[in-house]
Amino acid sequence: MTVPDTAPDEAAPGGGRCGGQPPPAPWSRLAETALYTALVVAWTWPLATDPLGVDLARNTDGPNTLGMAAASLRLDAEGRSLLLGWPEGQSFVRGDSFVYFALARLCAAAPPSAVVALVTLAGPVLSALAASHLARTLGARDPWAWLAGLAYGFSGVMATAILDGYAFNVLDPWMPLAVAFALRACAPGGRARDGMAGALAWLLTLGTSAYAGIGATALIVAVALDGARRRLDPSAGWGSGRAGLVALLTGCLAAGLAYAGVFLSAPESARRDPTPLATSITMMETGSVRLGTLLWRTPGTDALLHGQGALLGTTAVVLALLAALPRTDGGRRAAGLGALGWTAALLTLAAFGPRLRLFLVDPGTPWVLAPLARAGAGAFLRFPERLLLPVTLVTGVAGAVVLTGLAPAGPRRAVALLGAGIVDVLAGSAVSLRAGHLPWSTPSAYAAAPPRRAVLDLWPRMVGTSAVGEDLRIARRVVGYAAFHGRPVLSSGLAIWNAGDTRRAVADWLTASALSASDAEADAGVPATTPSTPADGTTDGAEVRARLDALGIGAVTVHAHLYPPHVLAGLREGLTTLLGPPGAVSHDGGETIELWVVSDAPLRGSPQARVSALRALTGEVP
Amino acid sequence: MQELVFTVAGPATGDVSRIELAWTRAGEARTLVLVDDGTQPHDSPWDGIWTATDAGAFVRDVNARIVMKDLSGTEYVLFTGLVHPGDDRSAVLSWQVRRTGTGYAAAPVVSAWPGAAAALPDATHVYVGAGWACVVVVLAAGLAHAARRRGIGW
Repeated sequence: MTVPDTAPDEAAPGGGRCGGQPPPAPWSRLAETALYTALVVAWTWPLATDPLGVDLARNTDGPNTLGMAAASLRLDAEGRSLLLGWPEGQSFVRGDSFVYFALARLCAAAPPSAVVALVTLAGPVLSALAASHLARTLGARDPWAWLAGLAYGFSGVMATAILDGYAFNVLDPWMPLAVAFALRACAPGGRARDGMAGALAWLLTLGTSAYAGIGATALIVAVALDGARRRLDPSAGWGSGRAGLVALLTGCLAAGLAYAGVFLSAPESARRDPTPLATSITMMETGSVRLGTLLWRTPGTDALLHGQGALLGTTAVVLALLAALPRTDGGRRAAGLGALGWTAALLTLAAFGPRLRLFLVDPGTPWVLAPLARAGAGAFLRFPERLLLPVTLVTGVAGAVVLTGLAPAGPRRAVALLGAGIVDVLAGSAVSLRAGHLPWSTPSAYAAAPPRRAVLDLWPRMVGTSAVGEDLRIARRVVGYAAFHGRPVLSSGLAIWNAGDTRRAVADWLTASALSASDAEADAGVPATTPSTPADGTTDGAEVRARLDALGIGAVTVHAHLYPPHVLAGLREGLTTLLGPPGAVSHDGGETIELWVVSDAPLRGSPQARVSALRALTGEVP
Repeated sequence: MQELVFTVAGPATGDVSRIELAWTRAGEARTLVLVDDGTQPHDSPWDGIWTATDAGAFVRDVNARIVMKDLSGTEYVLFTGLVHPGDDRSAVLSWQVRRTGTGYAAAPVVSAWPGAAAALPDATHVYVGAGWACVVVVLAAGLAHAARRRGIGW
């Protein structure tokens, strides 16, 4: 028996809405939205019970994401915010998450954590709705189209974004919309406005995350090439109309050039310091997919590898693989699905990075990105696993199309497979089972810092194999605190390792001064020679105050619980000698913070004078 | 109130007489004696996992120093450094003791298991994932087979 309406015609994507089929009934849309909403509440539980108070991230970037949002509200004309990276300020030109920063502006009147809660709770729902729309465009029907939403909006890649703390990535309905508009634009009768809408959605994808932008670019190129190929083939019967295709390519090219222009306009100080080759390769290898955890997660992966487990939904992948087989009823795949599938396969290969491994501990074998890693691109393309985001979309859409085709043969089995897609969400990518649970609250000692001056945070230099990660963890936390206490901090929000960290240089100088003043012989972890050797410490309290004042620093905080007791005693004694008794001590917010007020006088001097003072202190040539 | 459970998987030889963990919680220095006799909450007796529980103000970091005495009374510093509970309600912080050239050291692990089975939770998850994939393949294959018999789909 042949069931023609389950075999989408090749002209379907551009031929009309939802693959030439009628749009879903309103009740179906409602049911789908209700399902996704219920899932997002369960998926991110208990965030819904305290959306403004809980940080779900178990890795380091959660506070950083918050601090960057707060800093983006204080941008000057050059795209620089003085809340971070004081006194020079943090440039946002290469911030890469412009959609998130725009959302932060919309939420400016709300508490700082509101924007993170918004993207975490609304993002998966909107992304899933857009993915199921794309599935319908390619011939899937409700409720089977919902599998695409589950596989994309609630994928392991999205879960990783929440667990790592860059939740703005999960608000990405743009990629499915970009592909849907591109399919329409490239199909027969494709209109220019479809092409322009596709280009706009692509730009929004790129403005959400550079990795998502790379993935969306690959998908759109595949769709455009497929459309062009069909036009050159008279037997395809697609005719010669190309207004949509031309508009799509022109729009993407113009938007891409504008984006590149902004990116390249970044001042020298906004560019990342060169990363040593070995570090760069390690970064890329750490951020790559491993075969053993592609479809499932392990506690070890969550603890050590940015939660890069269960990246693809098992159900979607299994069904999508069926799409590669020829249909038994003679029907053909929807136009564009094959091109998307090949692109997804290539992106999957790339996501394994420079070395194909079963697990992290395997030596593995050199893989497709090995030449890039050897060329030093690892610091730039640190997370090849994020190239799987478009793969989750394509496997979800293909799985939904296959399920639509198979469902008439066994509705109960089809429902079971849709249920398996939900199991993939709740037990596979399962944010709630893997997330942290930390309050956003800031230690109360910060409230004693003068409001319009910067805060210098002191914590010990870390040693050992995880030193860079530990140092970044505290720096990210300090950036997050700045979102709440509102004082500028010296830490940067975009640094990926500790080279060029001006806070460290100033902190090392002050620590050396304090320990000298206390006559402590303790080793505070300040090595004699480092890449950022500080100026020699001084035991003259007036000079210390003058130098800190010249930098615009109003208070010094010591993260006391991070120091060994004997070092802390010396540091405390020295700072008291130099700056007087501490102005505040707090044991809340999860940290012990001791704060010394340097000056609460209004800021003096120009910003350039403060930058010069910094360079004089760190020994840099102005 | 945050409850922290500290677990240390001792050496497979069982050559341990005492394990202590020193740290500072909210400005107050604490020394915990870990036990393996079942007298502490969350501890199973004589399984080689030494356990201590500490409740108090929420902390983001535990700056821990773990010291072990063997049966001869020789002391070994197993670990000095930071670990992060990641949860303001409760958390289990685990280490695995390993033999080194000169004595013993402990490395943080996801969860402590008797002997040298720190990878057991990971292996279990991999097996569960593989099993789940088999279930989905069987479901999909059954549906595809039914569709083939009816001459539709794939």
